[in-house]
Amino acid sequence: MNAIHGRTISVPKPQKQSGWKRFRKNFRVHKYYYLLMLPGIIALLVFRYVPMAGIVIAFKNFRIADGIFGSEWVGLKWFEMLFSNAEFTNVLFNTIYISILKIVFSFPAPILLALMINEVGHLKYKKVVQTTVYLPHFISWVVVGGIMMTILSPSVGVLSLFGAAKNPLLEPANFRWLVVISDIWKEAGWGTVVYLAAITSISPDLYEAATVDGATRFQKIWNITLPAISGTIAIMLILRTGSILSAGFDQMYVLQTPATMDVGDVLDTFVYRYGLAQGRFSYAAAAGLFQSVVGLILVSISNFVTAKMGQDGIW
Amino acid sequence: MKKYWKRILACMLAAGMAASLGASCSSPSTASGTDGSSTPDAAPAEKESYHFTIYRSGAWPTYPADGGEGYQIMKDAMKAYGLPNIDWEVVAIGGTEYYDKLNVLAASDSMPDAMNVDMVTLTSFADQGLIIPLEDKLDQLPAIKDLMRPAEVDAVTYNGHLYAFPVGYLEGAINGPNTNGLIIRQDWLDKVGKDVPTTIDEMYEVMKAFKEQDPDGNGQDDTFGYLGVDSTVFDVIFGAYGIQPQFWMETPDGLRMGSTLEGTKDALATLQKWYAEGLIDPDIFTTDASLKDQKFANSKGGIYEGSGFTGSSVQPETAALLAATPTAKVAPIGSIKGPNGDFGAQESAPGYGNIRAISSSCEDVDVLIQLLNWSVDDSENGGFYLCSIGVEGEDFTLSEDGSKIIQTSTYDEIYAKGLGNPVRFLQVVDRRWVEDDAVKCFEAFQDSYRENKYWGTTPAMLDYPDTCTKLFQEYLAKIVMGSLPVDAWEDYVDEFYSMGGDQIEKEVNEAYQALQ
Repeated sequence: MNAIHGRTISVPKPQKQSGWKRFRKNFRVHKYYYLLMLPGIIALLVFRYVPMAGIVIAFKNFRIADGIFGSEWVGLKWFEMLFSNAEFTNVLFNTIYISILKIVFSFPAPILLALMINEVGHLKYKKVVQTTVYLPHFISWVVVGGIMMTILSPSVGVLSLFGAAKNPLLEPANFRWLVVISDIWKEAGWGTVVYLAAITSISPDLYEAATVDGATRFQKIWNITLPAISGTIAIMLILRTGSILSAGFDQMYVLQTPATMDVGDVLDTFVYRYGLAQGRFSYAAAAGLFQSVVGLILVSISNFVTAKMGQDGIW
Repeated sequence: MKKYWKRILACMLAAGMAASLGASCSSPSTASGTDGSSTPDAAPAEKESYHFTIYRSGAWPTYPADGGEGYQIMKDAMKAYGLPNIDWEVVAIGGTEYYDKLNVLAASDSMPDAMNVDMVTLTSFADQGLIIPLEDKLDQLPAIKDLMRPAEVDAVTYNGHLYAFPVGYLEGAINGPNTNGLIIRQDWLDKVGKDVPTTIDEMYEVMKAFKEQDPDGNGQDDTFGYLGVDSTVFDVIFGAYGIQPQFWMETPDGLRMGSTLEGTKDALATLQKWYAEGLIDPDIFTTDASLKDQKFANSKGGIYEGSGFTGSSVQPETAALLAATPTAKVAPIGSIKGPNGDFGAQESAPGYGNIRAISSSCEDVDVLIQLLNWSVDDSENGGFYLCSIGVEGEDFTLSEDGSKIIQTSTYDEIYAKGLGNPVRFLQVVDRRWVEDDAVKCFEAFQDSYRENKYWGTTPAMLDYPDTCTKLFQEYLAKIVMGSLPVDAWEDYVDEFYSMGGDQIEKEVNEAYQALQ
């Protein structure tokens, strides 16, 4: 995440040079930094790229005894099964539905929060608010799920004081909204870190100049802060789009109940159920591969669109 | 000079990171190497020591990871018994995560030597050649062989091979496989002036009284009739309508899944009404087993999905109840009869849900079997008591004729020593420790079970894993809570058959015919 600080100054382009030559020169100058990068690169290769070879099991009938490479090839059998499975269609719909809700409602939440925190004048108060809104991020979803179940319980919860007869978490109609709300509560504060960092890098001169020109607070936010962090917002949005097919495993797994399975079962939990709980690794790998490929396509599209809109993309 | 230090620092940092990376990579291989410490072709009896990794399905939080003091006690007994030098490691995982973990271990080729399995895992592991046939090994288990029930041995036989050891049972009705049933608060019944219900209508009246007449006397409307868990299928209630929803039931058209039969609808209508009137715990579908026990111990409900053990004061939930309410008294609900006089709860899965398989990667199967046999041998220096209830004289005493066991330690204390259930390498059901009150519960439940006609797993069940259980639980929860009308049961039946149910039913009937 090298794009944390919003870039406001454009760097003059160096004269044309072949990529390899430029890299070698660069390498010589910064060799110790490259050395520092090495463990990270190795980790990436070992834990991200090498296991990718395992996706071949999505095209095989994986039997543990035969091993990954010894199992027989079955072509697209698992994909055909997946797309003819009525449950999968529903799961896919749920995943996209919840993801879109989250992009529309959870994604802007940290931006708004960051702007609000930034406007707090009293330094100590600002710090307290910042820390307080971070905290929920460090609570595990298991705990948050337990708290929600208890608060919303019709027998012992706060809700029972208002005479609720049912737990709203068990109502399919409310379930998705509760997912979004709890996601905002838990993650919005943490999400502000990136935006606050971007805001910090804005030159105070701009604000001073605006003040001299008689701009109101809101005008300053609209005309200085937001444009300055728009690059960061764009990058975060691209990354978020890439995970449109993963609605968040922990949260969904914890909040699901039999009563809300048909609205709350998402790809992540589907893959888990089939792959780990049932031991059908090939089937789960096919679903997981599908999820990743769609993610890659979406990231590429949104990166392209962002670039067209004049913002920096991720590559 | 300063630059020089910078370089050294950078190198050291990089090396350090690489080293920690290497360490984290290598940890899986050490885990998988626990049983591979010796050369494979050495003659079994010649080895100096043997090591076995044993996976147990269950949660015993007080069991020490290193085996505790019980480890040495057991080793001494084994030595005196004449076993070779055996070391073991027990890994206990509770709940469904246990099977997730087994699947991961299987996929990473690091199977434990012996493990608990359920029927689904047994079928898939046997198909993949991950566990070995054991029918030839039964004779090496003289201490338990004759205590096993032939029907259970058949039930865990797959493709003509015995792939797991079922449990053994000591003589007597109390040592039977079925233990579950409904438990009622006798002190509450006394308070509202009613008897233990025997029919659905009586049960309704009792629960209504429990809800409305403030049986715990705290002046608040905070009690319910019925306490259960999120995965409940209300088996006693369905039983009263002649159904066990998740069992295969005999009909004139062959075996059918209970939940697709007409009686299901009547039971659902009853449950929906009860829930709407607040007789069933409104949080039942978000309540896990430990929360259910808490509610029971805190006197939130009068009828509890429990077991015969609940009648015993050393049982954790009962001990907690008595600690909070010393005057509490529990009684069994023997059976609840429906409008047509039907009744019957779910019988236990074969082998008491505690069957053990041996991995094909186990190198010293014969030594492992010696260990298993030792653990169920009650002769001198055998492990029978150590592996179930601890050390004689310290944790329990035997009555003179050996027909009763008086426990002096709680189960948690026994586990903390490293003895008891966690190291129960094989099980012989022995309830001589159960108090008389609990004996009454077991006896009351004894004749009130409905059979599952087919316990096996067919290929279609693996292709459609959600059809037989998850789908019904979804509809059950929604209909009981009133989110769906009772008529939605017909949609359920359609969905069941369209989600592979027709194929599953066909395969089950074929397999059942073949067994007859």
